[in-house]
Amino acid sequence: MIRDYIIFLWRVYRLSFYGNKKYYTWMTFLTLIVFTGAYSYVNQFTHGLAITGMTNQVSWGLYIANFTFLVGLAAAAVMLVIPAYVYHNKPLHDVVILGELLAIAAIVMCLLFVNVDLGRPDRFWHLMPVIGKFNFPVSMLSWDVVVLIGYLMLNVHICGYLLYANYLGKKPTPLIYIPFVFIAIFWAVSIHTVTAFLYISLSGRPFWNAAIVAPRFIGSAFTAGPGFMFITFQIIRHYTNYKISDEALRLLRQIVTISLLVNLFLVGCEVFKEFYAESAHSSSARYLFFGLHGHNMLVPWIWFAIFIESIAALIFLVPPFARKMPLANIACFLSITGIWIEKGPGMVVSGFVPTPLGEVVEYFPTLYESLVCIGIWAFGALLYSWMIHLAIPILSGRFRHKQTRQALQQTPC
Amino acid sequence: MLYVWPSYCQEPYTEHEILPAFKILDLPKTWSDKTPVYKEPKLLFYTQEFTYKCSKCHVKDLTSKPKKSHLPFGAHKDMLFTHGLNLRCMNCHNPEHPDAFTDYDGSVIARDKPVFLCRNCHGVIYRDWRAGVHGRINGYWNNKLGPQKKIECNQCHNPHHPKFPDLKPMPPPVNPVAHKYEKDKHHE
Amino acid sequence: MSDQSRKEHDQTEPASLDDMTHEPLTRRSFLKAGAAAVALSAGTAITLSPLKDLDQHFSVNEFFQQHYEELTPEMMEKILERIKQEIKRDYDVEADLRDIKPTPGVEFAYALNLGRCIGCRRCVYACMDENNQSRDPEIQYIRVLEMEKGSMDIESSNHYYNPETVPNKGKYYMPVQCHQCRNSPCTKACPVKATWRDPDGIVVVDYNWCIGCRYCLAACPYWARRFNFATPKIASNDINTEMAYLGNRIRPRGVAEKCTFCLRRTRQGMLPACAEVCPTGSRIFANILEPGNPISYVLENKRVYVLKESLQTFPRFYYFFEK
Repeated sequence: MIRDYIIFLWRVYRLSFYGNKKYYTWMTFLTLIVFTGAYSYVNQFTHGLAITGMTNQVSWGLYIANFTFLVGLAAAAVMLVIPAYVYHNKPLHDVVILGELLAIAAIVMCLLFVNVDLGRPDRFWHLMPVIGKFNFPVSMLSWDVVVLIGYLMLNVHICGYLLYANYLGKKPTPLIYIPFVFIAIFWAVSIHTVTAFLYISLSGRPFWNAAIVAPRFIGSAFTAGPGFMFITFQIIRHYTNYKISDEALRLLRQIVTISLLVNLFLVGCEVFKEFYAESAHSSSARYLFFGLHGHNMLVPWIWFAIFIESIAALIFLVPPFARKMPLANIACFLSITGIWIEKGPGMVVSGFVPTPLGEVVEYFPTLYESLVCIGIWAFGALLYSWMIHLAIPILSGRFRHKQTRQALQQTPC
Repeated sequence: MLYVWPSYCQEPYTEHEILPAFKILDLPKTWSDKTPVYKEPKLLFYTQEFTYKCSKCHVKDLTSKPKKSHLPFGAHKDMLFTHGLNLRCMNCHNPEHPDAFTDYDGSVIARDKPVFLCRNCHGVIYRDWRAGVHGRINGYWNNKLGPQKKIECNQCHNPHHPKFPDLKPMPPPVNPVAHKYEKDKHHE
Repeated sequence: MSDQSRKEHDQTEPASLDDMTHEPLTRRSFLKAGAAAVALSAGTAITLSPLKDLDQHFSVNEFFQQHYEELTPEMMEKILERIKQEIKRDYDVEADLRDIKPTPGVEFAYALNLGRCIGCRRCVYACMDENNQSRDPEIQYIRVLEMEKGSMDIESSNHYYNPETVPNKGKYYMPVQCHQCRNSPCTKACPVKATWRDPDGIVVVDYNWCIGCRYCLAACPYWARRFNFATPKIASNDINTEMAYLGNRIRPRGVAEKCTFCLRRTRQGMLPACAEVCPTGSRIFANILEPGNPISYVLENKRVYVLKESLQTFPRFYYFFEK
């Protein structure tokens, strides 16, 4: 058994470096970006967070914005898992593992984003349960660490087990993974809810201290996540021989459509609440949507985001457009971009403006900071590509345990 | 300045009679020079212009003519009297003892006890002051561990012009965005 | 994608990847791997090159230092000695560093007379003098807000006022610093218990435990916390050499800090620097457990205002007006 597993790992290692020119070009390209990001990060490590655009006034920036967005992406895997495992939807069952792998990549990126945001990355171990000093259950951030690491574990276990079982040619034992799948369903919703609670719990910041943040997070996550998968799965289908049915894509498109509408509805609710009876607590919203005391850096961004999300909604809803695949791709791309702006910089940065003492200081990311972000995204892409590169041959049966292959060859089926 | 006193009257008290020396403090060049105000409470914002003795001019009592009459009221000419309704000298100064204050019954209040004079009108403030709520306190909050010093009325307020003076403020904080922008420019 | 193109793909890729693992090492693949290794290590070297400018020292002992709660007096002795040496090395001053504990039966509170404050900012600078904040980037614990008369709206306040003399016409002033809340959002937020309330009411930060996530900065409704984005710069002769471990010792980079009611002074019976320097005597500091203390007098006799009282943080910092 253990010997088989070690051989599996060794073969996985070999397979990682086995690929055609396209694979090598893509991976080298990503590696270069990762190195650029790492170089920028080393600069930040050397000179401190002072080289970012963050200040005492706006003390979180692009890092936490990306973190928030990516937690949503990771949570969205649940939108494949529920139909596949609860309702036994066949077309989605084929792609559910690709969605879970995406969740793994997204969570790793989340953890990286948290880590680059720390002033003292050398003290990361203080955050570890047991060896560190954990302020649990009081601190929402400690909850977030628990749920993120837990979700990572769950998905690594589920994907790892399913892939290995496939490699061995065995039928996966339901008892080993199905309970975890169901835990992961609740866990997925919880990671994003806890991330929302991270903001909601801050009573000193009225823009965040609103219950609507949680449903908005879920709504936007279930738009951006499946939208991301919709595009990614087509790319996978294009470059590999893995069969992803149009049925699965159609289902994803439906999910994106509904979630996008829910998200836009919630945005509308928030705008109404903030501006119909505008109070001192609406200052951050005013800064975001209209500008405050002559500062309006985010105004064009948020309107652009709402505009492209509306365009996407129109594409999804109007029948002649809705049937065309390329247009659906564009719509997905638009809604992902829109949600990134709205939920990332839009939500995180404007919560800091004005400060609790009414000061308006704007935030603009520096070059280094942006490069670190791009580097982490590239690392996530690298990780996901690598996992897909391994998973596709296993799932399609081209990468199998030796005895399994021999057995399969001997018995014609 | 408002509080200039003609030179002929500037005959200082002997050492033990002098109240703590007042002067309008200049801003320290850096607040971090090694004698910060709070370390040795040196007070305050006024030159103690009352370093003369009234009896140098007013020989017998305050109602009599000054000794040197060539400058009638000259000594008081540049003073600003804005003490509300309280504009009569003898309300506070003891007519018979030029160097002391007068109580409401005409008895003497020693010059170094201005609190006993001021409290006659400013009862509420006096009560606050006694409770430690009006005026600065220096030293120790815990008087078992060290001395506590309460500042008296005329160490902050000019009795003739009691409004607290306007001060030059210390520099404002650095605006982080402007600061970053300047730094970048500097690097270029 | 059409079925036709999918078939093409099927043809180009082998049906099984078994061969791949048995591929012999050829000279060609060996050279390829070598070139890749060289490129990777060169990339790593370039990536790590900025480290040569690192100005923050990382020590092994500090890395393994335990949480404040778990430190024995002997361990604390060693830590203090180590920090003193670090200060000597980095700033060339002999520090008198102590870990000053709260006194039982003492609870501090602060009251500020809004009717008297003239906004001269002397408290801000006295605080910097006492507490060894970084001068560049500038860190100040006290923010004095210039407010419009007739309004309590801090959003319309001016933080950067700089007239010839204060008070400005039509304005009044509200200095804000850490309110040492009894229900403190910042200590609730901290994921690693690097900040907590001591029994005397002071909210302290262990700069050797803080991970620098800045969640406390986001949580504070009074904007009282500051973060060391860069290594603190402070001239040797500006340093107050009397230091406390949880208080005014020179901070490392990447940690949060805040007003501690000058615990180095107040825990030894002295008044905080800001109260000592206030020319108008607007600042009142006391032990509220002591009978007849000025703060109780203020609460009883004056009109007291608690900033953002609706948030139920129950600050130990009160504003009051003349009756």
